[in-house]
Amino acid sequence: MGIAPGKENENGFSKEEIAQLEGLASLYMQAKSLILYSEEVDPDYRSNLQTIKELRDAFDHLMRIIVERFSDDKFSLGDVSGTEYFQKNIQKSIGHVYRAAFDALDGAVMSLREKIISGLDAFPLEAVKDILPEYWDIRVKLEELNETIGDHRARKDIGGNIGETLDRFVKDVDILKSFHKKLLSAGPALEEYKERKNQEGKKEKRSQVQISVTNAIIGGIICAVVGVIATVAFNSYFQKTNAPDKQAPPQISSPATK
Amino acid sequence: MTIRVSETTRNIVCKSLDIDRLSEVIDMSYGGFSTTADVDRAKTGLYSDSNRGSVRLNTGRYYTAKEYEERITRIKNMKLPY
Repeated sequence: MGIAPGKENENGFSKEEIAQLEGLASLYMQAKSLILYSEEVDPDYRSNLQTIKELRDAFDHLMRIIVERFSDDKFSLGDVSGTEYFQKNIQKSIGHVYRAAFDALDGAVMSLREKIISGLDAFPLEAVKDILPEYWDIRVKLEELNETIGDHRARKDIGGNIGETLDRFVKDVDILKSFHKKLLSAGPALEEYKERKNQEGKKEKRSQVQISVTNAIIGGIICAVVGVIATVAFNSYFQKTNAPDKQAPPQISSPATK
Repeated sequence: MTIRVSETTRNIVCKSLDIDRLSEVIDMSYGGFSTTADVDRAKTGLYSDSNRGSVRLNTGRYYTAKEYEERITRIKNMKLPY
């Protein structure tokens, strides 16, 4: 636009204002990258209208600044103008861009959480323990992030340390992103583990069946032997008890013979 | 490039927004966007053929405020393997 910075220029921006506009531009570029990332990582490649709305509002406040500086009709601007008007609107614009970035990161966390859970659900936990031992740390991180989803939208104003909060959030999302990538590449190893465990399970089942059959056979044989022995013992016992007594019965003389 | 709407348009818009001059819109805020004042997916679909804007929006690949809230609840309640 060819406007030299400085208060001497009626429409121009002061050095401080230019630095703030540069800050907004830089923040916007970062937020944009996070929004694009969030849309790419979404399971259905969906956009979030909340994010689009935040960008619309950020643009609106930026345009208020431009209109205030360049419009001939300043009647409509209300009580404040100049630096005060600039400060009020640049802060609001920055706040909306931050919220757009947080919305995007929330979306990315949710998409990654969903993908990690569905990725892990296909495998037994022992396989995950063996092949992806870092899962337990990620799990803690996922639960922590789960608690904060949507929190920033409840706050109307941005705090002084919002930049640090955003940086920490980006770092956390990056940890999840790396783990998800690792989970995807660990797929074959997890499948192999699952297959091996299945084979081992089948083998164990087979050997259990073999043991059961052997036990049954041995048990059967033992029962048969015991049965035979018992039969023999019973027979001999009954033969003994039922056999006619070898002792001659006592002679009872009948009264007729006398 | 200057775009100027006609006097008639100005009058219609000003009357409908209850303002005296078109320039007064500068400090007006856009309408809210929430679960109670949500985007009408069906209505959006009606204009998708003639809309030359975003492909994502035209093909319905977006979350409305209500859908987004429901998504948050659903995903927050998903249990991690333990």
